[in-house]
Amino acid sequence: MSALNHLLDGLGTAVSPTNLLWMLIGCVLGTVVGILPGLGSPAATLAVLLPLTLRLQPTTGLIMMAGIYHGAKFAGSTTAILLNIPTETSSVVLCYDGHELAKKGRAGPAMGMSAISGFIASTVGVIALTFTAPAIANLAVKFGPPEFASLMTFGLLLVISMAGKSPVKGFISMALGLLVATVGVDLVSGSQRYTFGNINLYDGVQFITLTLGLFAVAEVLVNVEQKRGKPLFAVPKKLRELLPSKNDLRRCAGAIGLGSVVGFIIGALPGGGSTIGSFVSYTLVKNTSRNSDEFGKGAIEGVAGPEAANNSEAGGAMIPLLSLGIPGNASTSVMLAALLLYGVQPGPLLFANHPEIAWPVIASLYLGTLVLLVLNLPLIPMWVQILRIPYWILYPLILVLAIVGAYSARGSLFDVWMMVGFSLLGYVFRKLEIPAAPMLMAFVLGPQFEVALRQSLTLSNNSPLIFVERPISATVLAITVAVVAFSTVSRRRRRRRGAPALPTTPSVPAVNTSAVDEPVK
Amino acid sequence: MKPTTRRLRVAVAFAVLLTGATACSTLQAGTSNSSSGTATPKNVQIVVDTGPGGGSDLFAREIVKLAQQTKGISSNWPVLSQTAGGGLGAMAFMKGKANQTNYVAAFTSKWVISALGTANPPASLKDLTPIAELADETQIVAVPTSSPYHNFKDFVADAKAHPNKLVQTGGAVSSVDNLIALKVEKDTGTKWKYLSFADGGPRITALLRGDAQMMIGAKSDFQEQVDAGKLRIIAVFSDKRMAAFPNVPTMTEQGFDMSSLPAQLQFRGIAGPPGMSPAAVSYYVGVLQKMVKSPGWQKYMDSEGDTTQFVTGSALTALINKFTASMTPLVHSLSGAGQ
Amino acid sequence: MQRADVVASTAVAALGAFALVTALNLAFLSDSGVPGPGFFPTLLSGLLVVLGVVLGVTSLRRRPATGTGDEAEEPTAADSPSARSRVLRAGTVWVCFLIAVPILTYLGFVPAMAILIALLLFGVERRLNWRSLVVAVVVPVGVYELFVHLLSIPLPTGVIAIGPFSS
Repeated sequence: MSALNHLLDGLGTAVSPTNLLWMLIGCVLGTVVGILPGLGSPAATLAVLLPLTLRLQPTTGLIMMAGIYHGAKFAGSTTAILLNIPTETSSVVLCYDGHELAKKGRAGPAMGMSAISGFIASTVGVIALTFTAPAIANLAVKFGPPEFASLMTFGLLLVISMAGKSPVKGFISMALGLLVATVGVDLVSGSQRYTFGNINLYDGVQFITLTLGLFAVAEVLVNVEQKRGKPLFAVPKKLRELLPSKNDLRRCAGAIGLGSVVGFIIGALPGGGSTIGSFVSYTLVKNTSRNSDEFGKGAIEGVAGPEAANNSEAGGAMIPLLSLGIPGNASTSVMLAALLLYGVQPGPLLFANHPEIAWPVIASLYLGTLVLLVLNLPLIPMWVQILRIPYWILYPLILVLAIVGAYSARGSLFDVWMMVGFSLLGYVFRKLEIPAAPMLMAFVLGPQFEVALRQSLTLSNNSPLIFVERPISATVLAITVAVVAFSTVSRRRRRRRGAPALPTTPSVPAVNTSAVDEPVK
Repeated sequence: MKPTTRRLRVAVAFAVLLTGATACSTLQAGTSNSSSGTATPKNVQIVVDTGPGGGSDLFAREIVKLAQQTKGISSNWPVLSQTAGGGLGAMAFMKGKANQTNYVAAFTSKWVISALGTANPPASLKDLTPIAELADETQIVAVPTSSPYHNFKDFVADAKAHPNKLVQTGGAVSSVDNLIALKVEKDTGTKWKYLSFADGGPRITALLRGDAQMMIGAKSDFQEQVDAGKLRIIAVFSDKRMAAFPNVPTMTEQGFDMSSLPAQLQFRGIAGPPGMSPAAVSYYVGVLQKMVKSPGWQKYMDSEGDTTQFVTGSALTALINKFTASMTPLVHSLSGAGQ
Repeated sequence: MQRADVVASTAVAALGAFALVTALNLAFLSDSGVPGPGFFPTLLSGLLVVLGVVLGVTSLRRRPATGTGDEAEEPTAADSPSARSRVLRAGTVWVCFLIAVPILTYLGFVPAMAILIALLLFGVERRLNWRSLVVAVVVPVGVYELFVHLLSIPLPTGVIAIGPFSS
């Protein structure tokens, strides 16, 4: 139980008034800066605000960084829910249900649920980090390319199951996303793919370029079609309607639990991170939910599940960083850089050499979500006011920020041109009723899936058996099959009970099995 | 009638403001250009090949910070990112600023390889005016502690016995660690596999897991795992042993012919645009020389696991030329195999 | 709707075919027999061609019976006789957005964004009043100050100018 004592000691250090003040400041700064497109990912926000934190004492500085980290994460969810702009990859999933909720006037509850599930999930994450770190670190080391390929299959299932009304159009969107993701110099072979000799394309298409064009600006184009002046959509005035109801919380309990566990484990895998965590969590929650038909039309569990995964990931990501000295994702890389600047070398020996830093950092990660909850629940009514801004002021501002976001990610005007092009594509997609979300999701997951598949086959000298021979990979595949089978059976049963199935609905079983088979073939 | 006049006034006010802003900016552009002939360049910008928070970006910001601390420069040098094509965009940008003295670029050895790997590169490091090399990351070889290899000869012998079976892990195929491994494979008539990961973390876990048997990287990649007894260093790609690993012999000591490789493989430095005046070059050399002697720089080098290599003038040109010459056949053999 | 679908299917199939031709220059399998750089692009662009054809065939076949699920959408499309003017409005905004980029390249961030907002508010929204002017001036300058001076993130300063607000 010494781990618990250390954690409590750490909490004691972190709770000093100075530290709390800086954490509060960090949280506010992180939220404000994180709302700007192009800086929406916690890694970018941390990098930008790093100079500020370096002037402080190491422990205080790291505690402030934890505040910034959580603030930035919350900001990413905020823009996704309110404006349908996912500023980082892990909030892409929120555009499905989060923004649909906002359209129904339930932006407040969606944001509240994001903060609450985030808080519960980080509690789970920190407790799990305290007690299971060595075991999870072992698992993290065992997770190689074949395991990732199997996990990606699971993530891509989400894309397929979200294909929507017209499966063909959903597939077109997905295939385009996967294809756009291949642009650039191929990591494995060094070959140029679809670069047409243009050096601006060597590093591929940036996520923020695609998301700002396809979502943010396309959304503006659709909205300006109609009318002049009036706010985007109705916002309830009563405070009670701005926060999640008891019923919402009851509905989401399972989703939060599931999301927390999934996010924690995937967050602990080096190269895993919150994106895959939120995708996998959404897929799991949707396919095991009784209300799975409501997903994509504004189911609040569709916010709670991924957001829980997104936040418990922070606890998980600390495991490889602290126990192996390996940053699990971009945000922890920045944390690592900060630790090094303070002269602290994270790694297997960190807890022995610098317990005075290690434990307060873990404790502050946890406190960060608490501060976030205390700070942002009351502020949600204020954030929602964004929707009350007259649209004729809001949309030029979105367009300006879209240009800033596309430019500042790499300082590239070429990216601005590309973003403008993607915005037209996004608008055409809406007009043709082709869903844009599968394209973005496939774009995010595709490269990791492709690389993991090719790495695995390189390791096995082209034998597909590697996916079932390695126990963890086999387990992940088995879970995938089980989830697909479960959702198919329960959907059939519901259909038999309720209305007869429409002939136009996608034939889920056939589609899903083929996807499961893919890496094994 | 009233609204019309108001509208007119608004439009006129906007036009006036706009021309004012543009004129003002043109004026300022003029002043900054006129400064380019003098000995101390003004409005200096430092060009990097990564976005905010990336390796070269942080490196450049550190240089600017230290140069200010050592009173080498009085004003801040803004960092300008030109990220396209692993240095190609940054080099092309610098080429477009020929003869100007207020632009410098933080180059890395990767820039040489990027230009070699492109059919018609828009620019190469040879086009620019090298000012100084500042740092080098010595490449060392790590294997898991449980592995049977105690030196690089053991590894090569096993690779000979089992062709195309052993796995080296690292980044992109065109990264320096793979290129020098390709050279050893060529020299010894062996062949092993290369497992690419975009991020550093998964490379280390691939070693720990046993998916890969060997990795070439920098001290900072391995230090923690070595201290924890999980990885072992078996060779050094340099002309000298490393102070941190005095018992690990260099590749040359182990009998490998390294004469065609330069002593430094992962270097960072500062270069100016083509045709930068000698006066400006010596100004920058002065600023940088002052900076690398400061304790702050030494501390930074230690935290990065880099060693200070202050090389200027013809020695620097020779280093870049030797690096280019030794990498050319390796990069070309790569693009042949990749297609 | 169907005509649009047919056009879309042709575009998708054509794009797929183009991508397929490009992908064929890449190695489908690498020398060791493992999927190479061309493996995914070839499969995906092939899939796009197939999907384009499938979309075309199904939308042509659906013509006699105007779909079951599409009915909900039909009224909204039909009840606005000005569907064309709506697209025109969106198109105008997009063109303003598009021409802001070259202005950005040559004049720099603040003038370009001021012109973009002015075009949108004065031209598209027909709000030629002082409030619009304030927005057109305050937003670009505010955003510029925030990014360049508070966060030290450079924004384009233009080819002919270093920028009125350069640090």
